[in-house]
Amino acid sequence: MSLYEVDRVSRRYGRAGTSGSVLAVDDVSLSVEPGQRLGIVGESGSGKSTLVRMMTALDQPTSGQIRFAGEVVSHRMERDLGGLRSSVQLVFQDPRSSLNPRMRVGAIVTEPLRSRLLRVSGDVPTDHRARLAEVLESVDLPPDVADRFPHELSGGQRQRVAIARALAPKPQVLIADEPVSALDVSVRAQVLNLVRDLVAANGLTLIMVSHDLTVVRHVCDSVIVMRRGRIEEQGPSEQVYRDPQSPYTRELLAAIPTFRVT
Amino acid sequence: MRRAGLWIGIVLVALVILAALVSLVWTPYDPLQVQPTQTLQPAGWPHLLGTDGFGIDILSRLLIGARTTVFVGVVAVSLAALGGVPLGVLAGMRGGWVSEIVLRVSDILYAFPALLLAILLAAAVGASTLTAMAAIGIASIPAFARVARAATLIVMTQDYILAARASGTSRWTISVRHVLPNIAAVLGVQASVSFGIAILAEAALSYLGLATPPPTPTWGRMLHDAQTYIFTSPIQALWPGLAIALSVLGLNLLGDGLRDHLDPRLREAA
Amino acid sequence: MSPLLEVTDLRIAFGRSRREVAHGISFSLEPGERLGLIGESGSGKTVTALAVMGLLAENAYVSGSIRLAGRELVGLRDSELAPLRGDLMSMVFQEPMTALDPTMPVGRQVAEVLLLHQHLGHGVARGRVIEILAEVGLEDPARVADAYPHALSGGQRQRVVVAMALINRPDLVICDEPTTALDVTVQATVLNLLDAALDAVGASCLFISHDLAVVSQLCERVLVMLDGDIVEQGTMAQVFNAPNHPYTRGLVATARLDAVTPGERLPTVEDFYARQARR
Repeated sequence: MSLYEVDRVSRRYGRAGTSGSVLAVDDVSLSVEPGQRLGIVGESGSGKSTLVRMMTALDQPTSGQIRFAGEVVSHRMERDLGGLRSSVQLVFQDPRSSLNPRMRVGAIVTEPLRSRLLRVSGDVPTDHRARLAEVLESVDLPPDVADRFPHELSGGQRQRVAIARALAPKPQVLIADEPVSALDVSVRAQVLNLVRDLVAANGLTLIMVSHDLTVVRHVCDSVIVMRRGRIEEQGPSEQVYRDPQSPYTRELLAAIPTFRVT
Repeated sequence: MRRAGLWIGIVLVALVILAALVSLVWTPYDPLQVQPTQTLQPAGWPHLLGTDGFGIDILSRLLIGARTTVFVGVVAVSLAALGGVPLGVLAGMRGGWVSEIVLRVSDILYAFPALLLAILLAAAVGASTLTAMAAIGIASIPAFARVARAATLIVMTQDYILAARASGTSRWTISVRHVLPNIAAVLGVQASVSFGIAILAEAALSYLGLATPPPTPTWGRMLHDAQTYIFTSPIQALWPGLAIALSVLGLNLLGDGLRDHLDPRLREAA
Repeated sequence: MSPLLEVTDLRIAFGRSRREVAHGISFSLEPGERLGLIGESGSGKTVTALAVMGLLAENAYVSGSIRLAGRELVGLRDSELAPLRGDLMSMVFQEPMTALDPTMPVGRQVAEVLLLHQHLGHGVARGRVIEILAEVGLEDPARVADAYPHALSGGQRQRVVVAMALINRPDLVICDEPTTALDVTVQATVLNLLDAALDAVGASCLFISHDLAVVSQLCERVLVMLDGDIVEQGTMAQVFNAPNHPYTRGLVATARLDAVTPGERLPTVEDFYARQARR
């Protein structure tokens, strides 16, 4: 049984037929196996972020179904989503808006541990202080960071806090939505190495959304290319990178700037 | 230099609060003791601001009046905040028809000036400090509701709200731990502004006799009493008028200064 | 030929505490040259560009010299600097959505830049606007001119912004991360556009970015900024093959993801240069 089953899922904004209507995700089906490291690649408007939001039940499909570990998670009441929430955690793109500016890092990272929903449904660590120390160390942040506020940290550090928060409840699946796009190029490698190492060390399943195929190639073993809500191409990341079948994938690859000397 | 407004505001507001606090334990003269021989004394010594038509020391009455002003202001604004903020946050978080209902209700309340409410309440149960506070408080609820809703809408676009939901945090906890702390600053500015409005409203109501009944001195009441002496002893109107004006000015400067202080910080956080 | 832009010992500080963010920057730019300014957030690259344009905040203290076409810019009042902006020097910002006024059709905004510096009739102005919108590769330029920013795509908006920057044929165009907010396919086309447009106008370009790969598409020479200092200056080839400063070596390594075998650990800047604990 696949860990995730996305079954002919669509997401439409606005009413069909009206001028403001947008089909963000169009009849997408995919499955994710335990231990897989999947990359979802696309540009703006491809629907990749919407898809991932639906997979974490932060948004609902307008048609189709999403199943996690055999259980339907689309169109469920929040109180029935404990299993999903304790097993699947999210890292967001923008480190400036994904951390509450009025909360200290320690409180931010342990928030999932304090949720009643998670405590009831999963085997979430109960000793918050110990888990906080553990998880800060695993993302290479010094323990005194726990008392600081997000605005005191750099972009790379904030993103590591976001990763720490995602790992705190010991999830099975880590979903990273463009985790390095908002960071300077020189800082990205650090965070990507960290993600790779943590996924390997904790035996996590990884779903990483990105607009950059070269990044995905290094971190993921398989990739899906999305465009305008549909899947253009999918396969092992190395294969798609070297021998893209779809013209759009080829266009994407060609557009990525490489450091060259004219 | 740009902070000058904020500091002046702080000083003025502090003076008013100080006056109110001091009046609890001491006034230069008894504010209720009629002294027929001392009526309409000019400002100077021994009565720093002069005496009124009953020979009572104006400064003492002003200090007691400060007490009512601060008291009414604090209670009215608290009432407005307690009523308006939860409504606004609810509307901002839920959207849809909940938001529509809150906005319509607040529009209806907006239509009733504090004056009208005060008259209604006075007709029903008799004018008092309580009716003034209730009227002003209720009339100020819409302002808080709208500001809270607007600020909540902005907070809801932030990823940390989504992160909280993904962490399984309940909606209630999100509103308390994530929304409220991040709209608090904006609400503080609104409170400052509403306080100023409350002071003016209270002065108007007590001028009209719809607030604290005599003999307790209030600034509005003092203005009313000063009408008779407007040509013979203009200072009767000057002192309470000045007190009202400076308090409102101070609160407005405080509100503006707070808002400006917040602005660069918001940009820095970006 | 004397340099178009000559910056000497530029120091920029903020606030009453005079917190210095640029510690004596010196560089020069020849006419027609493309110079890249590379650095991370907080390195001081953007404030340097803003200092040249005279667009820093009120609480900024600038000392040193900035000479544009021989004219000293430091110490000029805004009323003296304003005529130069949009005419002699112009800027392309990162966010096309905030660089454009959402309440005005884009054609009018481009025309505004034109009319600020030249006295033309409105008919002539509109003609010039449509001309330059076509030059930046916009299809159906007349329709685009009448459109509001929100009706255009990100790439179209950025083309409009480039048009605004070039319409008065400036000598210097400063680009501050002009493609960072764009999709990668759109970025490629905008970079090509900039390349062609700069050639056509013969303008110099100061291109600011944190992305060495992007900078290398357009620029021949590059400056590397770190914490307010320029730590390396050289041609693209020099930096690529034989960087001097260890930080530069780190930047080059992180810019060459394609050279790393998949599955291998990615090289980080820290592998080459140990940064201050602040980061």
